[in-house]
Parts: sequence; structure tokens; C-alpha cells
Amino acid sequence: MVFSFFKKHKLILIFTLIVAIFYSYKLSDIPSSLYADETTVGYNAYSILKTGKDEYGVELPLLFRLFGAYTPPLFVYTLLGSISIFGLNAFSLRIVSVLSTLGLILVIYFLSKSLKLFTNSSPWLVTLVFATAPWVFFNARIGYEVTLGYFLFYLGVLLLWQDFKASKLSFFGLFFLSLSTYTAHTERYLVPLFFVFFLSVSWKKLFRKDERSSTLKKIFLVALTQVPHFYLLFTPSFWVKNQSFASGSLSSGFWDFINQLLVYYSPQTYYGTPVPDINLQHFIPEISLFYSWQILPFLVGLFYILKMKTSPDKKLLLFLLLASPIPGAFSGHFVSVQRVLPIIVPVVIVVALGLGQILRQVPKQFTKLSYVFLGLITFVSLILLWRSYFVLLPGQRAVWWNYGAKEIAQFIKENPNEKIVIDNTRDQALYSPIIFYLQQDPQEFQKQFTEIKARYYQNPAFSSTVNIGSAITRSINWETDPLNTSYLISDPLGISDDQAKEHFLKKIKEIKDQTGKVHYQIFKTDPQSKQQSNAKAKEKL
Amino acid sequence: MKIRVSLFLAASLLISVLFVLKHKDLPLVQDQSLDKSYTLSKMNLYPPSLYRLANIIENRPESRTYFRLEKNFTDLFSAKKYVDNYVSLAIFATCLYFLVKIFLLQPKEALVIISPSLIALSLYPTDRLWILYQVLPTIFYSLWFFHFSKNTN
Repeated sequence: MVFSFFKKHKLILIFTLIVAIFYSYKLSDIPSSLYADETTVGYNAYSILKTGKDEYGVELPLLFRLFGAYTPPLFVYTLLGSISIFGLNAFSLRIVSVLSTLGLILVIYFLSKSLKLFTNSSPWLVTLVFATAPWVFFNARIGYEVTLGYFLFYLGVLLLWQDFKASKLSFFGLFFLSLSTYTAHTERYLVPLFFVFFLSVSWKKLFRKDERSSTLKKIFLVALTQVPHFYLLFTPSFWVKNQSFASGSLSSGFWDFINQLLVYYSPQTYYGTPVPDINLQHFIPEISLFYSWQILPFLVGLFYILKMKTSPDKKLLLFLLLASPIPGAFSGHFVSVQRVLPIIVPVVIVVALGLGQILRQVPKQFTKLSYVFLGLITFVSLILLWRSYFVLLPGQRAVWWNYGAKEIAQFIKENPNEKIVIDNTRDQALYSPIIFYLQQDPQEFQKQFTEIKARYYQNPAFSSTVNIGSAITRSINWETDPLNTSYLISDPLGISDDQAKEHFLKKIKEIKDQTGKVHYQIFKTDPQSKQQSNAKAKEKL
Repeated sequence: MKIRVSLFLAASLLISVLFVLKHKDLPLVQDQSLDKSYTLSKMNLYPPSLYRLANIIENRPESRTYFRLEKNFTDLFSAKKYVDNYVSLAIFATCLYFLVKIFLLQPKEALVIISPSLIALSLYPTDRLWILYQVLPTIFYSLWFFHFSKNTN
């Protein structure tokens, strides 16, 4: 049966393998370093592997506190496998996203096949648009839970929708949907919305007399998988990602929500530059989330969907388009495109539909030419993707990817007994990539968090003052640090030339990226000279 | 037919005059000297063997003009440009509803009427909110007249 499946779908499987090569090319090197959000999940997985506890010393947590985000746990537990095989490094974190995206290619292919919106060749068009999209390519190569989250969500949608057409309820579809709520915050809000929608279109089929008891049994079994969520529902840790209404007045929260929805519903967000996300670490420079020229087939596709006769497939597509941004709009005061990743799938389906309709309008004698033209545009688009991702991203966005943390970790390793203060005034999560690269002993590291461990799910305040052996991350104390420490490490804004002179600091190293930009400076202190200078200053007074 | 052509011409002329007279906030091609250093910094990131490609993509006026046209066009499709309070949200939602309805009823005519606006705004982009409200009534009136004249014929 497995062999016949491979034989029947060999083309899509070969295509997926080819795409795998591009998705994993220089996976550890670009982006040029690991961001704190990647290293924190990686280090927590490493800590679980070594001690059975997270970085705060909590055994097998149901939510991972990280920097206070209380991320659902499944991605961290998935990393246990890749870290035990490949070790604690960039590859082991990012390979899970690569595999999730490859899985998505197959899911999207079969999903678009099952939707009665297309002709025979269009599922290939959907798959091509998806696999070559800048937004997809970018998220396939970073160690975040969001990619695994929307893969599991759409796997559940696919299985559920296929069986719904056969008037059955798919247990595995429900199961994967439930699993996706343990992967990322977005799915935690999107899955209930989807479930309400699904019931509204399917209740007649699934609750008819002969299917009713089987349907109820499956729903009950899957509801059992949500018990951990019911346990956490009344703790502050469960609600950290609904900041739109959590702070300030209800009216300002509502306007925040509307504002964000307007951004997420605007085609400019997906086809324009710059992307309206203040965090430059969420997207590639000088290219939109999808290729800009695809706005035209997107609008054409939207037109044809609206003109189509109402059907369950049309309802599904419109629901996914409209509902996918809602969790993102709930979750904060600013736009973050990472929170609306599920909208990728309905958008590529609409684009492929539009492209198909445009190609159908071309006179028969120009059909081959139109495919050549489409191929040419795609080729140029891929050149621009290469330019933005492999050329501009490492140089322009190095500071947004915690560049320099690896070198700081190396310095600490070379000076294990020296007192080092690492200024984290402008990057409170700086400790995370440092302990990742050091592969800091988790048992030792956990000892400093007994207070947080005691109130873990009550969302105690985040403190960025963290001990890493004899080093510490915090703001520089100018009264004591030049006297009591061996080295001070800071970004260029943290220690000016005048301050270095005043406190007898000697610059011994600069950490620079490939463009020559300085990210961090390492200074050696001279406590003796500083003490003498302080004594002289006291005498004068 | 004569009435349709004259209405289309009137609408296009009105829109074109509006934009040529009023909307030069962001010119098509920005002053070269302002972003020359940024262009150079991008070109320096390319491998030396691909200097020619870097020049084509980053430096040539044709590429820069294309990227700006592309940006101006896609910027038109941002709801935030037209909405900054509940009143403008209500007006925008109403306009959008009627625009979609007109497109569904008479897509070809609607596209012909709205194209001059889109082309003009791509060439001469603006952030002026009121422009949209000057453009849309013209479109709605033209299309209503088409629809009406079609039914009476």
C-alpha cells in the first residue's frame, strides 16, 4: 500500500526532495547567527534532554516560560530528537522547520486536489507558488515553533476535510488539530474557530443517526488531549498572548484589534515593501512576503472565488482567509507577521486560482508563450529571492539576529574564572544565545531560578540578570564594576570612548560582522588605576 | 456607446487632472544622491564575480524605476492608508462593499474605469486620504450610469 502510494505520487515526492535541497542549503550559516527566540527553545530542549527539567528547573513543563512567552511545549519536545542526533547547534534547531515545510508542500498539494475549485493541473500551480514564496522559504529555515504549528494545523484540516466529503469524521484530523494547539499560540486560538466553522458546515452529515455515536466518541477522545489546557486555563501563563485587551481600556484594545486586522487584511502587507512589521527579524530585506507581481493573480483569484457558486470548499477557503489573522490581531499592540502564518495557504490557493484563470483567458496560439513568460517571471523572482536572502540578509540584518553572541560565548569559554559583566541594556535576552553556544550545564544554570520555579505558571516578572558561571548579564554599574570585575562586554552604545578613558578601560577586542560593523566590544578593567584615581578624587574633596 | 466613451473619458480626465495637479508628494524616481551610499552598500555585499548582476539589480535606473512603480502600486492596497478612525472605517467599508458589488456586476467596465486611477497613483503616489473619496464617487456614478443605460437599452 505504501509502495503504491509512492508510485502514484512519485512526481510530487521527487519535487519535494528537490525543494529540500534548496531549503537546507547553508542552513546553519544563513541567517548568520541564532536569534534568542531560537536559542531559548534549543537550550530548553537541551536542558530537558540532560536533566528532565527546563532552564528554570521545572520538570517537563506543560508550557515553556522562556522569556515570559509561555510557549506551547510540542516544538521544544520535538527538538529532543534532532538535538540527540545532531547535537546542540543551529542545524538541529532549524531542520525541524525544514521538514515541517516539506510536509506542508505535500499537505497543500493534496488539499488543493481535494478542493473542487481547480482543474487537474492547478494543484501543481498551488504547490509551486507555495514552495517558491519568500515568506515560506524564510520560515522554513528558522528554528521557530510557528512552522511546525501551521503544518500540524493544515494536516488536521486536510484529513478532516477529506473525510468530511465522505461524510465521516476523521479522528486523526481532529487529533492533529488538537496537537497543533500545543505547538504555537496562533493555533491555540485558530483551532477553536476552525472547529466552530467545521461543525457549522458538517453537522448535518456528521450527526445523522448512523454516524452520531461514532462522531461523539471521536470528539470525546480528542477532547481528552486538551486536559492539560483545561488545567492551565485559569493560570496567567495561559493568557500571555492576548495583550490587545489585557492592558489599557476596552475601547483602545478594540481599536488596536481593528487596526491590526486592517493591516493583516490588506494585500499591501503581503505584496508590498517594506513589510509593516517593526521587528526586522521576521522577514527578508527588500522583498515582500510573496512576490509583488502576484498581487494581480491574487485579485483575479479573489474575484473568481467571490463569483463562484457557494460550496463547502469555497466556504473553507474564505474562512481560512478571514480567520487566520484573528489570533495575530489579538496577541499584541504591534503587527507581527509571524503570528499569521496560517494565512499563507489560502493566499497561495487564491493566487494559483487567479493564475489559472489568467492563463485560461490567453488565446490558444499563445498558450505556450504564456507558460514561457510565467517561467521567466518565476526565474527572475527566484533571482531576487536569492539576492535578498543570501546576499542582503546576512549583511543588513546581522544585528537583528544576535550577531556576536557566539563570539562572546567563546570569550567566556577562554576565560572561565574571570569575572565578566555583559551589558544587556539594549538586549535583555542576550544571555540565551550565550548559554546555548556555551552548552552551559543545565543543572548549574537552573539553581538561580528557585523563586521563579515556585510560581512558574503565575507569570512572575522576567529578570534579565542572569549568572553564566563567573559571567553575568546585566547593566553596567559604573561605581563597582571597574573595580571588581576583569572584563566588561558591551555594544558600541554601552561604553563610550570618554567612559573608557575615565574608568581606565582598555579595549582588547571588537566583534565585527562581514560588513565591518562593530556589534560588541570587550574591555579589560584596571582596578588598581581606578582605585588610585578614586582615592585622588576623594583627597581633592 | 457614445455615452459610455464620453463618461469613461470624463472620468479618466478628471482623475488624471487631479493627480497631475495635486499629487507629487513622492516622485516616481527618488533623488539619486539621497540613496547612492545605500545602493553602494548593497552592491558591496554581492560576491565580486557577480558585480554586473549587482549593478543591474541595484543601480540601473530601469530597475529602480520598476521597484518604485511596484511599491507605489502595492501601497494602494493598504487599508491603513484610508482608515484612521471609526468614521473613516465606516466610509471605507461602505465604499469597499459597493466597489466589490460593482466589480461582480460589471467587472470589465469597472476595471476600465478604475485603471486610470491605479496607473496615475502608481506614477504619482500620495498619502492624501481625501483623494480616494474624490475618485470613488466618479467611479460609482459612471458604473451606475452604465448599469442604468444597459437596462434601459
